Amino acid sequence: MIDTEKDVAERSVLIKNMIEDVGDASTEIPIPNVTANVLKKVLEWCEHHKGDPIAANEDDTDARKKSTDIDEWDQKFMQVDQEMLFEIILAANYLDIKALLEVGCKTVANMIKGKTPEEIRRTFNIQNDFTPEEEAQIRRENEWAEDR
Amino acid sequence: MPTLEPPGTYPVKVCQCKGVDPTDALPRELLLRIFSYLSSFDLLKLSAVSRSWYDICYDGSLWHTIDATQYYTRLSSAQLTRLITRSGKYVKDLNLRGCIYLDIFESLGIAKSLSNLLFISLEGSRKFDHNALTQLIKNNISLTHADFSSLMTLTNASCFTISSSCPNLVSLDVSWCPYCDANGLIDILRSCKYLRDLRISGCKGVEDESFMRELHNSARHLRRLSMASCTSLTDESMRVLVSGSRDRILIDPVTRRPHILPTKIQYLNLSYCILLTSQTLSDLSYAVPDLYELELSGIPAILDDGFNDLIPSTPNLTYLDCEECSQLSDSTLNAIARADCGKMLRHGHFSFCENLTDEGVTNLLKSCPALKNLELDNTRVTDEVINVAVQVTRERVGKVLDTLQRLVDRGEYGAPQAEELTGVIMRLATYDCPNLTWQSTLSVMRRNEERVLFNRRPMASRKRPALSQDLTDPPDHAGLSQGDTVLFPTGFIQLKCAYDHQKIIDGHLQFLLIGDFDTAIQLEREFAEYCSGNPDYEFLRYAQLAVRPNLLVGNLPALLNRGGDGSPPGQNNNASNNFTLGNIMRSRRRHRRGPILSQVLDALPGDDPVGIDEGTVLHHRRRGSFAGCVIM
Repeated sequence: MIDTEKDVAERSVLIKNMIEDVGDASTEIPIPNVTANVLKKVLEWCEHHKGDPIAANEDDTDARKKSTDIDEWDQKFMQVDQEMLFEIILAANYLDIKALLEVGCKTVANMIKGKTPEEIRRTFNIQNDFTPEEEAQIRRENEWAEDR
Repeated sequence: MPTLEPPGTYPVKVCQCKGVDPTDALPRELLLRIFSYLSSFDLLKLSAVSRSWYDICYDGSLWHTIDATQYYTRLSSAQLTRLITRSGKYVKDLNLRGCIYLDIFESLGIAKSLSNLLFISLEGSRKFDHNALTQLIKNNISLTHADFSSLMTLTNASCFTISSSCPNLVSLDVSWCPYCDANGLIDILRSCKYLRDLRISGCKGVEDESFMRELHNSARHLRRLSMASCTSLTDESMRVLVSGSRDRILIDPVTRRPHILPTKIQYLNLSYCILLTSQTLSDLSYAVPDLYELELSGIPAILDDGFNDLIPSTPNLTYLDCEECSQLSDSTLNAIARADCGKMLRHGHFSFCENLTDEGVTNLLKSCPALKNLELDNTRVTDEVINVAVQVTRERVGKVLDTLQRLVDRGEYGAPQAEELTGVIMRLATYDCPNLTWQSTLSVMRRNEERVLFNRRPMASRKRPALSQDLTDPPDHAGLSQGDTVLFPTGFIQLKCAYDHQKIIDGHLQFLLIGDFDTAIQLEREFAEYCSGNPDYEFLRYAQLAVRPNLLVGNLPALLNRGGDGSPPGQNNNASNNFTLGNIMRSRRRHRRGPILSQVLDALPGDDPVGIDEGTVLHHRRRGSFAGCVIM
C-alpha cells in the first residue's frame, strides 16, 4: 500500500478515471499488474512532473517522430537497468501516463539509434536466430550499411 | 488521499543477465512506438539483429512514408520492392524518384500492393512498367500529389486512367514524358477539378486551341502552371489561355484595362518557350494579378514593351527570372522599380541580359527594399553596381537594427542572441562580368567588416552607457552572448564573383560568421595588398576576354597587348589554355601564400562556391575544420 497525493496520482489517466468512478479520493485503489518498486518509481516521476500541463493528443505528428530529446531530469530518472526500464514503460502504458510512456520509448530508441546489429545484440543480450543462409543473405543486403 | 495497493506478482520474464531483448519484454504496439523514433536507415540496418527484430523493422505501420531517395543507391531493387510490398496499404507517401532499376516484375509487385497512396513520386523511374503504372493509378483513387515526370511509360492512355480514377488530384507533374501530349492532358483538365499545380514542361501539342481553352477553364482554380520548354507554344495559344479565344483582347476605352476574367495563377513558368514574344506578356497583363513567381528565361523575342505592360498589373511579384532574355534593357528594370511589385521583389535573375547597364541595375537596387538575391552574371555591370549594393545593404541593416534597438531600449524585446543579429541579407551573383575588377570584391569584403554598435539590454537596466565602450578593443561577435553592449559586423553580402576570388571571399564571410573578426580583417588586407601589389593583375581581364569579349568596355587593344606572350586569346590554343583564370591564380598563389590565405583555401570544402550559409558554418564549427583559428 502506497500513500500519495491526488494530483500526483492523477497524472495517470487510469487512476484519474478510477477516482472519478469511486467519487472519493481517500479510498484505496487497487493497481494489479504493477509491482511495488516499479510503482514507486512511476510515482517519483509523477511527483516531479505534477505541475506539468497535460499535453494535447499529438500522436503521430512529424515533430513527435523526429525528436528524441529528453530533458535532463528525465534522462537521469531513466538511468535504470533495462528490466526496470521496460517495466516502467509497461506500467506507464497500463496506467495511461502518456508523457512518461513517451520518455521511456525515447530512451529505448536512443539506446538503439545508430548502433550496428552486433552492438544491439550485445546491448540487449539477443541471440542471432537466423539460419546461416538467411544470415548470409541479410549480410549481403546490408553490406552498404557497414560503411556508415 | 488515495492509497495504491500493488499486488504481488507481475508476469514479466525475469532475466538474470543485464540485457533484456525489448522484443521479448514489450508488446508489439509499444515496440512500434519505440521504433517509430528510428530513421528509415536504422530500421533497414537493424532488421539484421534477429528474426523478431526483422519482423518489427519491416512492420508496415513504421513505413507510412517511404522516401527511397535517401537510400536507393545502397538498397537492391529486390530489397526495396520487398519493403514496399510488405508495407503495402500503410504507405501514404512514396518517393521512388530516380529508382531506375525497378524492372517490370518489381513495378507490378509494387503497384499491386499499394492502395492508400496520397503522394507519389516516380520521377525518372524510367523502367517503371506501363501496365504497373496503370494499375497503380487505378488502385490509388485518393492520390492528391503525383509526380510522374520523365516517365517513358506514361502515355495518353495513362492520362485517361488518371482522369477517370483520381478526381482528387491537387498536384500533377508530367513534365518531360515523351509519350504524353495535350490530347491526354485534356482529359485530366476536364475531370480533375481540384487541380492546383500542373507541370507539363516539354509537353508537345500544347498550342492546340481546344487544349488551351480547357486550360483556360482550369485556370480558375490553377495556382501553379509550368509550361517550360513547350517549344510549340505560340502567342495565339497563350491568348486562348488568357481570354478563351484567339481573337484580340478588347481593351476597355475608359479604364484602359482588358476585358478578361483574371486567373488565380501565382506561379508561371514559360522558360524556353522560344516562339513566344512580348505579345504574350502584354496579353497576360491584368490576367494574372496574383502572380508571385514568373520564369521567362531564354525567350529571345521578349522585349521591354511586354514587361512595361505586364509589370504594373502584378503587384505581388517577388521572383522574376529573365535569364538570357538578351534584348531586355534598363527600361524593364525601371518599370519594376516604378511599379508596386518593386516593393515586393526578392529575387531577380538577369544573367546574360547583356543590354543592362549600371543605371538600370542601380535604380533597381535602390527602389527594391526587399531584394535579396540578384543574379547579374555575364552582364556588363561595373564596380558602380557593387558600390550601390554595398550602400543599400548598409542602409538596410541600419534601419533594421535601429528598429530593433528601439524595441530593446523599451524592454519590448529580450536580449537578442547572435543568430538574430547577424546574417547574410543579400546575395549577388556577378561572376563572368568582365567589367568588374578586384576592387568590387574588396569593397564587398570591407562592407561585410563594417561593425555596428548594439545594446542588448533595455535602457533602464544598462550598466554603463554605450559610449564608454572601449572602441579600440571591442568585443568581437563571438562575445555577443555575454556583453551588454556589443560591436559586431552584420548584414553581409554574399558574393558569387570571379572564380579566383571566390574561395577568398567565401572564407572571409565564414570567418565573420563564426565571429573571428581579426582573421577576416587580416585576410582582407592580404587580398588587397596582393591585388594592388600586382601590376600584372590587370591581365586577369585579358583572360576574361576569352569568356565574353563582346561585353568588355574600355581599352581593348591596350589589354590585348599586355598578355603573357602577347598572343591574343583564341588564336593559339595552347596559349589560351594556359590563360585560364584558375591557372593564373594558382601560379600566383604558389609564390606567395599568406598564412591566412592558405588556411582558407585548405579549409574550404571543394570548389563549390554555393555551399556557404549558416548551416555550413555551424557544420564547420562542429567539426573544428578551421584549423588554427578561434572556434566559438
